[in-house]
Amino acid sequence: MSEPKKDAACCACAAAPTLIFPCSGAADVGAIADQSARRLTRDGLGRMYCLAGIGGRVSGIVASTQAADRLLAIDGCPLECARHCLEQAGFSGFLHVRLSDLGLKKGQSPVSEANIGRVVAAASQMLAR
Amino acid sequence: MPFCLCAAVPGLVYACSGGMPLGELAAQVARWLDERGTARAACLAAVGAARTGPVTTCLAASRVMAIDGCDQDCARRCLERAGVKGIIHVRLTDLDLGEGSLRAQGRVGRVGEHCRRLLLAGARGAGVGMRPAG
Repeated sequence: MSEPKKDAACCACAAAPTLIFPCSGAADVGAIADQSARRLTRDGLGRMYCLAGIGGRVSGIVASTQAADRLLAIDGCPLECARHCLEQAGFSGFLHVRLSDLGLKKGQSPVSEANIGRVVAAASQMLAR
Repeated sequence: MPFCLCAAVPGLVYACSGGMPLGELAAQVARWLDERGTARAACLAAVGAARTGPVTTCLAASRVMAIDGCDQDCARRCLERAGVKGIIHVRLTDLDLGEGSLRAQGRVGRVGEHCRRLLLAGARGAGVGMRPAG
């Protein structure tokens, strides 16, 4: 088998990123989702992107999302707005973290290191698969 | 006569909450306004996802403010897609945030005060308070 071409290793497409879309809602759980996505970005597990650009059908943002290797939605509450937002824009088959599945309830979950850590851990596990 | 909650809510504020640092600042400012009772922070994703309850609440609000971190104006466009009119729009890249502003102390409060003035004035755009960038 021949060695891969150098050019192929330089192609940005091969490294198409994981884009992370937290709901970033107004409640405590929305803030935890938002902060978790920023933490995952800092940790190099993906890149937090702009869900508002999907909801607003901003062409460049929609196109970048279509080009991404994989997508992760993080929803703070059972309304699952991030998931619905992506689905209505035509995206499917993305990874999905629901804070309610992690025992985090709206209005009862302080935006603490511990709670952010729980979400980051769950998302990291999902992204590692 | 029943107490009307509408009078107690000056308006709703929606931040783009984008992935860039100014998107985070937009989110922080929305929470700052909410904590002070100037406006109630609401979920932009719910409007983007056309969730019936949140869209109805948004359309019924006395004032709606959109805070966008950059000139893609995602928050404004998201709200406009849902039929919201008369949006008070703040674009952080249009504001003079000063040198090294992303790390500067008090930037949330400074932008928050600017937004508060716009909300209380019911203005339909930038121009009140903070000096534009440039």
